[in-house]
Amino acid sequence: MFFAAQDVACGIFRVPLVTDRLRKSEFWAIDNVSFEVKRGECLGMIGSNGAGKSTLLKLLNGVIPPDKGRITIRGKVGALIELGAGFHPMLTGRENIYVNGAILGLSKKELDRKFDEIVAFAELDEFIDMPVKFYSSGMHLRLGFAIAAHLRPDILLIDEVLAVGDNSFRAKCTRQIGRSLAGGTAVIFVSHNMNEIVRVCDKVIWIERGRIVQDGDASNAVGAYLLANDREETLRSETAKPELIEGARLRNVEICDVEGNVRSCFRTGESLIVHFDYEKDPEIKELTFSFAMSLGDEKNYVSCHSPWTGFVLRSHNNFGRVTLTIPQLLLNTGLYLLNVGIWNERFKHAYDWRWGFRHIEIRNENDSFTGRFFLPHSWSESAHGNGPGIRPGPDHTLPR
Amino acid sequence: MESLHSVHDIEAFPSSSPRASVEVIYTSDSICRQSWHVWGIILREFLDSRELIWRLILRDISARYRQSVLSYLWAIIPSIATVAVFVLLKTSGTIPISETPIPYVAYALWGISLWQLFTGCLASSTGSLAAAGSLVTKVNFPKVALVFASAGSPIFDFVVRLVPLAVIFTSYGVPFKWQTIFMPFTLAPLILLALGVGFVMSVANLVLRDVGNALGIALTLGMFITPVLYPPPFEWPFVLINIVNPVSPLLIASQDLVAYGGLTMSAAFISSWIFSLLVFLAGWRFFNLALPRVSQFA
Repeated sequence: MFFAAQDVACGIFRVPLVTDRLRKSEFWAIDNVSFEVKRGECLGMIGSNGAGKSTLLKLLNGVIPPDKGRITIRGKVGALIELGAGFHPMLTGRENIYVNGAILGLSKKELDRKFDEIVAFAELDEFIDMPVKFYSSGMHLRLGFAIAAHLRPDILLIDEVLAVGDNSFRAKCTRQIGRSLAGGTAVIFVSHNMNEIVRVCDKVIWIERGRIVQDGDASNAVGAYLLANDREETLRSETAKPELIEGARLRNVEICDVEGNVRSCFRTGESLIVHFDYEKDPEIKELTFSFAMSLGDEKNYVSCHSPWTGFVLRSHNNFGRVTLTIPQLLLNTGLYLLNVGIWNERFKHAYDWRWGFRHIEIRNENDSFTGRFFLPHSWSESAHGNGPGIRPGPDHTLPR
Repeated sequence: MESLHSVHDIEAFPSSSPRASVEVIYTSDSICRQSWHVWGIILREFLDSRELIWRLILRDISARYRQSVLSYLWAIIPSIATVAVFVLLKTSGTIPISETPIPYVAYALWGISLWQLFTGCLASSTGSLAAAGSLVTKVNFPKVALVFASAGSPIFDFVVRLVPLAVIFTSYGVPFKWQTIFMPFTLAPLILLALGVGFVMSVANLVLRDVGNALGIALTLGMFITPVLYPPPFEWPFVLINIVNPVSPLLIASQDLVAYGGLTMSAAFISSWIFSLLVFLAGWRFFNLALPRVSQFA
């Protein structure tokens, strides 16, 4: 408040405002962020909550003046930041179209002309004549997007608003964005949905705490972001331990590649060798082993329990080494937690069990692959098509 | 050497393509340009947003009357009730009020309507930015439109109140003076003064909500130091009420038009008029300067 008064007073008395130093308890919401977006390009912005993405959009939208630096905008700016701006809850959707349109800068003439298109795009049917206070957030999105889409701006700023839409409407929005891009609009798109970002954007900047962490190609930046996110979640996750009984212990677990080098970073498709060094009490005659890989969400994505391949260790020695070989790590980029255990012969009780005792990084060099797993598969041309006399299969119509 | 840019520099470029004919540059310099130049921008902004202002006024009025069945009556009842109380106090001699040029009931009702036009505009404009919520912090449009539009409801209420006023006037036999067609000229400065102060108050209220609350109290007290429910006093020191309070001459002028068909305090009225206009322009300029800096604190 005091700073607000100070700023205003400086403006009134024509004292130059010193804006490039921080005052007490201030911080840089955006620090040294520079980029350029040209006509027809789509820039994606990713980053955790509170990173500064919305603030950056407000700067671009002209709502907040920058304290340092320069923003140059050529063309009309349309923002999908606050959908339904100006809506009055008591008025119907129809009436609010005029209010929101006026706030966004559309004249009454333009609105009259585009009114039917807007109503049709929103697909709200009879709900368009209902007071807006009864709308769900998805319906707000539909109406707000329908109005904003008809702005035909030169620059379109979109701030995480599509998340509340249902799948069909989001697809519609994405198509509309694609059409705008083709028509020469520059789009800046903020989202937490990485698939959407990779599909729609050419370039991506990743912002954390107001700074650019990485910018460049969309899938590279998204990949790096996912990796870092996995790391955060993964290292913080915990899970319930099973009841342990006495009898055996893991002395060491080593992760190696096929040549025997101890590694923690692998490429998709490489072989993984895990050495278990164990020790056991003399009374214990049989042991089984487990190995699992999980992500921060605590689901086991990969499980190798030795009984499944029929391996039960029967040894008279009180210590030794057991090796697990995974010929091909067919997993996509990520930071995986390793979980290991020693169990009794029926795999019912655990002697030793470590969750997340180590993590490995898997990197996939092939950018276009987006699934979590690579399943070995093949493609071929079939002899028979859907010709006459052949009964058609279930009604699968391909999405257009 | 710092180049002087106002916060929003708008230059138009002729372009080869049909789109993109406007370039906007945002910088951190907020040193204002020569006064006249800035007014060009301010007025252009106002003209561009006149449709929006009208649309917001329509929105507020139709929403208000949709929310309650008795909305029309709520516009009139409080003033009638206050007047009734004061009539009672006057006729019973509890409060000595000197004679008014027209019957007291009519005088008081007219005075209160005028006063409510002023306070209504002032209160609405003070709260207009805070009421708009995230519109102020997230959307780019001329925020002055919000303040101007906030005057719409009080003006509409004033017009609505003219109906019972006309009824009271005719039933008390107050003669109609043709000079009352000049009424807009005496009402305009009230609105200008209210908006001028409102511009400053709205920005302050955005940051400190106390401002709105304090204003309510101040206006309630203000009614008693303005000749609303009593005729302008002529004894010293009370005669100061007519001069020091900038609203008084404006109110008195409107009352005189109805009562006499002419002005009794033209000098004071003209200086109040000029004062109101200056406050309006200064407030507008202040708003234009202060809001960009303050909206992030809202």
